[in-house]
Amino acid sequence: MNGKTATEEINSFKDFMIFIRSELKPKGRIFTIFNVISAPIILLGAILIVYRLAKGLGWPVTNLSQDFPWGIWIGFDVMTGVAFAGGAYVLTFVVYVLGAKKYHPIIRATVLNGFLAYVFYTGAIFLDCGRWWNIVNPMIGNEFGVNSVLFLVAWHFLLYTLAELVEFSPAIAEWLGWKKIRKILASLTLGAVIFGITLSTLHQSGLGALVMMAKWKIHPLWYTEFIPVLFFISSIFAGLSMVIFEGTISHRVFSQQIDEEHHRTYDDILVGLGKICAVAMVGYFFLKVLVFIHGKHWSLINTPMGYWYLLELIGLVLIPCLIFVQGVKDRNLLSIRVAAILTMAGIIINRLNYVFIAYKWYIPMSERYFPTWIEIVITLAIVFAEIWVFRWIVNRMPVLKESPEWAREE
Amino acid sequence: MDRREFLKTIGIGIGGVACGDILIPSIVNAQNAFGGNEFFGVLVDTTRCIGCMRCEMACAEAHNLPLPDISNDSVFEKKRNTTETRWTVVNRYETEKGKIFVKQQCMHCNQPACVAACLVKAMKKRKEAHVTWDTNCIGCRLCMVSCPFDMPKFEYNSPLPKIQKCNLCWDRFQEGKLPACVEACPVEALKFGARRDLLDEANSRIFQNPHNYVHHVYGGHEVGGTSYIYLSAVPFEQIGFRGDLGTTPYPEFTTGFLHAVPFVDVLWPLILLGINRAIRREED
Amino acid sequence: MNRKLFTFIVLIGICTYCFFLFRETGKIWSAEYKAGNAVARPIFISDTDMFKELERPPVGFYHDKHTVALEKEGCGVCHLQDEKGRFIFKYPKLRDEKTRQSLMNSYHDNCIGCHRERAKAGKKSGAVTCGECHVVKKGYEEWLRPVELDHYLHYQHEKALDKKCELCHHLYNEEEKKPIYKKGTESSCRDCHRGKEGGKTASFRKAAHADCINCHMEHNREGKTAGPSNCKGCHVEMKQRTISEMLAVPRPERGQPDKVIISSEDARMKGVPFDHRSHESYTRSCRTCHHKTLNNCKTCHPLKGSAKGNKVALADAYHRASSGRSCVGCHESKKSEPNCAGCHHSIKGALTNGYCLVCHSGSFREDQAVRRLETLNASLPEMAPEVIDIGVLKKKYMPVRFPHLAHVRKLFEISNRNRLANYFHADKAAICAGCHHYTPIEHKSPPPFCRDCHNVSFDLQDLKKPRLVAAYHLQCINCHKRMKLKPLKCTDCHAEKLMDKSLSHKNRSIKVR
Repeated sequence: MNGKTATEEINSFKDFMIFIRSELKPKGRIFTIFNVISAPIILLGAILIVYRLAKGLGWPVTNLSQDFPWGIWIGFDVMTGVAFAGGAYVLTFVVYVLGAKKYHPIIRATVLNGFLAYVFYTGAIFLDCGRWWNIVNPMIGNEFGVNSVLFLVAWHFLLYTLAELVEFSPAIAEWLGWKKIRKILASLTLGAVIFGITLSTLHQSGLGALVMMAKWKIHPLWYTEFIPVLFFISSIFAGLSMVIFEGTISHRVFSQQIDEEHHRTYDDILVGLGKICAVAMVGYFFLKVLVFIHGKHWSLINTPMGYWYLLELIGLVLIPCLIFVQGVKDRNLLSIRVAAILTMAGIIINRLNYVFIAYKWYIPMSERYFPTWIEIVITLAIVFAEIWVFRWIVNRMPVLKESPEWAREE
Repeated sequence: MDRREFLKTIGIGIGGVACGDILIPSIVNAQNAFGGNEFFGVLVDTTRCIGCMRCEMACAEAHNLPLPDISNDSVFEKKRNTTETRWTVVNRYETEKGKIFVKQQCMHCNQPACVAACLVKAMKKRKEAHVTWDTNCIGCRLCMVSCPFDMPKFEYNSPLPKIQKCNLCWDRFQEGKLPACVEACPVEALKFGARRDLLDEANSRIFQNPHNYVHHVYGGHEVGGTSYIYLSAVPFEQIGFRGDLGTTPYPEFTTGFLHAVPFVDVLWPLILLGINRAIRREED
Repeated sequence: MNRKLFTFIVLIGICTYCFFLFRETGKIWSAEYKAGNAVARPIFISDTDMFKELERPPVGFYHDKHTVALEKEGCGVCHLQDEKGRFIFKYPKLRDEKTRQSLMNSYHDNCIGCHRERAKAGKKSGAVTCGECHVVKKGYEEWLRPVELDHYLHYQHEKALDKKCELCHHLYNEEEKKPIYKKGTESSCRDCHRGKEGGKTASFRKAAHADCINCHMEHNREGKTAGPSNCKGCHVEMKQRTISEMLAVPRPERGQPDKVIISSEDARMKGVPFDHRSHESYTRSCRTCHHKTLNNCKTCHPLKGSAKGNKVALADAYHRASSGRSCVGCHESKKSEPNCAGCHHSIKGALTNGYCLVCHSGSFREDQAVRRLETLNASLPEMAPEVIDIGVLKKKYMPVRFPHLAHVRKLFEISNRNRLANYFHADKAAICAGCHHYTPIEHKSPPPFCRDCHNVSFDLQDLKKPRLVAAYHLQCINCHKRMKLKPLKCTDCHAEKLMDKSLSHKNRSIKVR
């Protein structure tokens, strides 16, 4: 079913403004449960953001300390969020580089999610930076700290966001009815995809490389010279698990936009995603086991942190992996979804370990970092805001629904 | 010598004594045997330190930080860390050789982790060895995560926060003065000089008093060498130093990754393009 | 994959996890940790001469626990007695040492057998299974402190035994294979009894236990004053003897010389006059110096060294600074005592040129007897000023009123009280040199000021010499520290006013370590 798109070429700026104003009106019910919960949080978050900019990062805004300089804004919003956005580069690889048309129906939603994730999590970085007014410094050359992993990560973030924008831009052009521009943008897609995968490899692993110099501060069960590799591999199945999770929700919420055929093929897609996850997780699991054996950390297993490690590795990597395998074999969509959720939990725990759980694990409980309510609210506000933007775009642009006729003909 | 010369000389002599501040005689660039630049450093001999904390006071004075209360010993009951308003602290340790006082501050590593971590080069390693912070910092705090000694401290409670740590009195150094702590120490537990000379002096103290020192200069090779080097009468682990830092300079833990970047940046696009082209031909 | 296979894989995973979990856990719950409540420390039964390589960890035997538990039954439960009723402290009673196996069986039969019996009779008993005795322990050094028979203890024995030396001291007659007594050859048991266990000559441990404990027990039985018969009684920290106790101890008589000139025929330097009699009172026992035999040192340590003396030559035997039994070594340790350490800590080198002749004079000259330094009142007012105003750093610090003469008097006093110091501090210049270092001390002229060598400002070119303020503080404070004087406050030296007003100190106290 076609939603509203520009039925005629927008020829003038005035037409454009009329179109935009009409698009700005809300579509669908206003007082859904989700809206009722998320709207106040977004509003509160906005106020708290202003408060944070005025007050600084100290208590009561955050619980960051000299011992724990990074909290959930870096640990969850940036590190976990970016891992979850990894579905974009994996799926664009499969669809555009390998040419597997099977996943085409979900590719635009995934790319959109990736793009929005990076935009909003760049915002989270902006909030977390103590001297945020200087945040353009690494971009403009004041100065280029090329020796720093974070410099690399920052630039790759920026370039990747642009690449995702280019990959998604055909949908915007379709929405605005810009035929010629759409053609140009579509030709850029493969280049943007290749660029994006290259950038993703480096910044996904780069997020891991950030903590390489905190050698003795990270518990030996987690610290290894292969952290970047582990981060990269885990981003594959983290991103895909997020695609599965978010896809499940989107399919229900936006089901009227999706046509019959695509509803049917969705099962195939899900199983296919499950397969990729399972393979990646088997690889990741064995890499982790190798690292463990190589490090000879047997005696550390029988400690509280050892149990935590086993929970993460066995309970939230191996077990979901096996469930994925079983789900794929039996084409059991529920198994696949359950596995995806367990995997996501595992990724969250894994990233948070590197930031403030296994990081300085030896600090007693009373001096450890726990997020303040303000940090949590702002985090939630960012996530909800992203969902709102996603919903706004999906309801207007051809993301889950069919592209307009003229676009499909090309 | 004519009258003018004579007066000049006397004047300088009196002026020098009257000055009170101790001037580093004309060397703001130490020369090594090859005529190149050498690092400066500070030798901390913990067998001399009497725990008077004049160094803490002098540091606070020199950098407009809140003055510490050093009038009594009660501060020694708990171990203190440096903070954003206290760039150096003296801690007391009970050991088999009695009470030992140890001054702790940024070690001004030869290859600092914080300098490698900083994406805007706000943390700079000067050629004279000082590691200093600059205001183009974005406040990302990666330097805090990376430092093996946990020295950079962040002003969380300020909306215009700075990273604070000892800067070996870079500003005083430009004026030819000694670091404030070195100048204030009444027993010369702190000695400033070319790092190579200080290592020689440290080793000769060990050699001449083998029973008074542990035969190791901490900071000689730890994390690739630091500008603050320490002597001790007891094993360093007993006076608050980590023994497991290794001799690898910390930036080398990221070079493995950084060196992979050009390879990925060149090879990935080629491989991906190749795969795509190879597969496409088949489908057509 | 079907359901069964999946379940199987999950079960394998759980089993693997449990395996590793218990493997590690087991290590914590081993008997080693249970043994933490041990009261006394054990004797380790290893008999390595018989057993050679042990298959299981050596058994830690708590002897005192057994003596307490078997107090009523007495030592005869475990130990045989000879025809005189003296206990033979060998275990087990019936010890079959033909083979490893038989020795092991002897231990097992006796120990476990007894434990089983007592358990059957309902009494408190010990272990019966392998793992309860053969427990892994880290670092099983003997904990029992060696017993030293010092002069005081020896005298107690002399008194108790009416000076019957033959009761303890003996030589061994090789032909008749028995101990004999020869007057004038008494020496330390350890001169002969110094081998390891199981050798031809009993180890000191065996010999001492056999003789000492049996004798003590006999005396106990006969109601006479006796020494201890349990482990703790001898194997504890030697009590610090009081002066009155030591004063009562007479000089041990073994025909030793009072004064002797130590020399060697082939030596080129003159002999060293040695007052053996006065040195006796500085030692705990003869063994302090006569560590192997009571003969004189050059018997085993000739000029060129010999195998008997472990190749340690004469010069080293007398001069090695690190040894507790060489002359120089003992003197060095005396110099590190608080009264001396103030100056001597910074005087490097035990043997410096010129000092050789102080000892190697060749004869006992009268004027080398106890020498004391002259008192200062008469002779040196201009040499040792009463008070020195150290005001050269007046700008920053309040001038220090240094009581120079009081310091000199005190040091003279300390030196005069000590015989060793008297001998070496022949000239008062020696005392001055304690502080006025790196400079010749001449009689008629005062030594240079500190500031003449130690510059006010820091010198990057000479890192060795402290600048003036540090020189004062290091010299003064370190001396006070080394001499263990009471803690100095800054204001003890720097008058009542605050030092350096810009750095307000408020009576900052410098605690001496």
